[in-house]
Amino acid sequence: MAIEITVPRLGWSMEEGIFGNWLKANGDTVSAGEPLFSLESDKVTMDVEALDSGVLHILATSPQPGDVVTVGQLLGHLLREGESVPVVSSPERTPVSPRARAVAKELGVDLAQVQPRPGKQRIIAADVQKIARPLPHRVTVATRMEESFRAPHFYLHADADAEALAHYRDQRRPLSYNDLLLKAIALALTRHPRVNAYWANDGVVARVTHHVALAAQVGEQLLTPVIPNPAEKSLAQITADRLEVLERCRQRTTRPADFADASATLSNLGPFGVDRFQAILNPPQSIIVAAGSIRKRPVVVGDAVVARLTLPISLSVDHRVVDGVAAAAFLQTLIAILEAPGATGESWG
Amino acid sequence: MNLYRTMQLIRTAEEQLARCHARGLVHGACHTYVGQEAIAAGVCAHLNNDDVVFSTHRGHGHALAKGLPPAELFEELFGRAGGCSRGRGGSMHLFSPEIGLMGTSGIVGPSILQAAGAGYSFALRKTNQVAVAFFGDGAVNNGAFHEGLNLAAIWKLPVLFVCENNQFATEVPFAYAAGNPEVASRAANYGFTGVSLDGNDALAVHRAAGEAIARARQGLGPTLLECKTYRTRPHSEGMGDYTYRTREEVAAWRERCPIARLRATLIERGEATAAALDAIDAELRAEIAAVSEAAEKAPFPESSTATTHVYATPRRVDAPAEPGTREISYSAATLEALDHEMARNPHIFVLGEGIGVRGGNFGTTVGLYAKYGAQRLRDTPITERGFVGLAGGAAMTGTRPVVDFMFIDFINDAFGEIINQIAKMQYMSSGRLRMPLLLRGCVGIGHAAATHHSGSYHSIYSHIPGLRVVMPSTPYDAKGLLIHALRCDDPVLFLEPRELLSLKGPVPEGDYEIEFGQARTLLAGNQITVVGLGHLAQRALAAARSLQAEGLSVEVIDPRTVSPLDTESIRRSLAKTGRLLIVDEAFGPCGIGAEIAAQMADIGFDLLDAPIRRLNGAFAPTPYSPTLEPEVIPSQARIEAAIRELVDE
Ligand SMILES: Cc1ncc(C[n+]2csc(CCOP(=O)(O)OP(=O)(O)O)c2C)c(N)n1
Ligand SMILES: [Mg+2]
Repeated sequence: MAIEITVPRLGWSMEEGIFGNWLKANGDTVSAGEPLFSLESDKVTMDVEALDSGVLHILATSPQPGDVVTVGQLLGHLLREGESVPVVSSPERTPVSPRARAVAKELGVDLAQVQPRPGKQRIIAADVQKIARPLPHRVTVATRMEESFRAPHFYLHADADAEALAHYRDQRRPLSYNDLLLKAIALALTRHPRVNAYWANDGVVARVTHHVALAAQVGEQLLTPVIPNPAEKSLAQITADRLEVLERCRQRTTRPADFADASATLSNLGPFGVDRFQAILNPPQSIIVAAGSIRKRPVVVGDAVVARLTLPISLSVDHRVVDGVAAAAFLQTLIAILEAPGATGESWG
Repeated sequence: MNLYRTMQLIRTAEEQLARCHARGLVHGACHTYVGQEAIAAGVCAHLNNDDVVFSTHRGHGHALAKGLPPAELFEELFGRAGGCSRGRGGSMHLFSPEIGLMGTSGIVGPSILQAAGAGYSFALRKTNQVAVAFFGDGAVNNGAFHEGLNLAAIWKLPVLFVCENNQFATEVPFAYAAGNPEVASRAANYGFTGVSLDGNDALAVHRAAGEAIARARQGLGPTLLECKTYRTRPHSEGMGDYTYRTREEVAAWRERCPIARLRATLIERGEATAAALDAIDAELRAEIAAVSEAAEKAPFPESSTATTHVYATPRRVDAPAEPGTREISYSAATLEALDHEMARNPHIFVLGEGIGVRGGNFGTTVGLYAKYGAQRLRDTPITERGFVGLAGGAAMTGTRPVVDFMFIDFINDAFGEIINQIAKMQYMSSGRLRMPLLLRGCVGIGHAAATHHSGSYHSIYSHIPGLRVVMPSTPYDAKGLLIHALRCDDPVLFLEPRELLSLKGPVPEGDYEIEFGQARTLLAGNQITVVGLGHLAQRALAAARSLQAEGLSVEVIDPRTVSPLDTESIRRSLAKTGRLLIVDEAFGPCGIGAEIAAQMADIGFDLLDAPIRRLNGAFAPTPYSPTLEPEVIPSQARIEAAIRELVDE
């Protein structure tokens, strides 16, 4: 009997995932334990290993990279000596309800990608909507954001003078402000251990690491990949780490560690012309830094109004973990670091 | 001289119409009255403008004698906008209510019943008007003759029944068709006077009609005139004539021409000179030639108006009162509505078997007889076609009849009156007649009533343009819709599910109206739409409530009126749920459920997530035995199962 290759469940709640790509070619001999194909759930991207050995036969209808697949969906077979590909009785065209057709048209969903709910014959509107809506990460974003809103937030705002920061960056192109901000946030965290903590069900848990996540749009997805330990890294290393993890996101080859254990998140909408904004916490983190655009603004210096580059910073804080004064102190430190880049004694590289 | 002029007008007009028919100017049938003119002229000479005439397919003469301008007759036959029926009728459907011409009819018989109804109106309104029914020998073997004459007799209605016995019904000789060929003698069966006359003797007809009409005006009741005559042209223009009668016979009757006969008499008696009569003839010839020529040039009706006047323009009504907290039964709610309207409108009267002193089999009129008297709560003989046809005539002449059938099954004896007459009258008269008429009765399976007392007829009647079909499922809706029905100008079939008559619910004490064509959401839900009709609207509601315990969210809609049908509300619900089940105890094929399904498959196609399902009564007559009866009507359990299944699709 040919062995079926199906989409596995990567976490207990997974119903669908996104197919990555085949890691073996049609006709390859595969032994148990070898990676067969990559698959992305809402949490991770994983290489799925073969459970048996045999000659790989990939179904003609195999999903393409980026396609949504459902748990249990047949992808191909492993054939032993002398076995041939089982004839998959080509089922009749899956019936689609008129409503499902209309909804698919409206949402721009390809009905060929839609499956009826388990045990059902007909594709209905809900099946289409499920596909149209939750690329799995969307569900993650939604549940995260909902969770986030359960945390009692408060917000602090301050503008950093960015003349020095701009000068510093201009000397080190292609260094990005994001790298500078990641570095500054990590440094500020090392000096404010009470901020470097999060709320668990039974109380505050202190962190020992100082990883910082960066909110990034990758294709359709909002992701927050983690840059480990920027406080201890050179800016060049931070740039390299950032580019690498973003590339993994694009390739859908991230590892669980790429999303784990950040103390804080940087959300920088400055490049998009946003003057200033408040971000929503990325649970379980207790702070998130929202950076606005760096540009000339009127600033009072002595008794004169002068035009200076400024960087608006908003800090969103989980009040269960951090009180106002502690958060204000953190913000103050952050501003000070940003206003004097490289001057603080720590390695900026 | 006037009689002569009228007869010659008819003759001249019809000879010209016959020519026009041959030339193709008359688009449809054309039955001439040639040879019978003395009767229309002799009878109508006694009628005032507000007296009314109901006529037949052979009605040009009656129309002209009643005062219809020849131009309106010609234009109607030529299909022009200025025709008396605005091009909606043609030769067999001439309407001019303004001059008391209440219609010629393409159906043999109903004129008799309608004239009786007009007589009822005049008696109730205490006017001095009379009604005349013209009909041929072909009608006297028809039930309408028996039923209409009997009703006019027992209620002493001011009606003149004029039988124009031209000895043939198309080609069937009356001598062959009648067991008793002496029509006049049949009046005795009903206890009033019948007179047999030479219908080609204008003066004799004039005299007899005068006496009969005078008696009617005095409240002495109806008279039957049998006018023996002969039509000397074929049954209808263009038809052959000599398969059933001989050329000699026709020629002999031509010799007995009523116009020539009157002319001779007038000259003989010195009442007119030949020259004076010739002058009339010449004048009429010139007039008709001019009329015919002008009609040929007259404009046709706008084709966009082909479907106007099917219904009266609906009245705007205030939003109905809130249900409040007072609870009464369905029966009590409709009784309250009827009582309220009878007090308000003295022209409402009720016809039915046992609706007088007894108060109706289902208590529909309890207590009203004592308040409003016998003339407004009229017990009837068992003569459904008769009193429905009569009600139609009454509605056309200023009163508002309510026909209480008790069990709606009996309505079928009156099918033709409803479909061919009542429903079409507003349209045929191009909106000049109103048909404020209510037909009510109990519907539905239950109480081991078996098959002759358990029918559901809403689907059949909703197929018919011109009717409103109402079937409320709550006391509140029943009262509001009945009041609206009693104030609307259209004929309304008001169906009361027998199994709901004792259902109690909140009903306001005052009057309020619920407009037709507005469905009610009995229960809101979002997984499936269930449209329930009548009794089964309530059963669907019970099913939906019990399924709530299983976590199913069912929306239950009661259309409340089947015609007009509120498809928009159903579509809106479908937009929410994507699933539709229709439950109706009436038979499935060609039923309202099929109609709703078809409409939703059309306007709601893109909303459907599953096939549309129907649950109907079994396609079988209703059985009696308690082990059989429940089998033919969808039970609550079956409704629940159907809902579950459809949600699971
Ligand atoms: C109820 C009904 N059945 C059949 C016909 C078809 N039909 C039209 S005229 C006619 C003969 C009517 O004879 P009669 O009542 O004597 O009138 P006449 O044509 O002789 O004036 C018939 C049978 C009809 N119009 N209505
Ligand atoms: Mg006849």
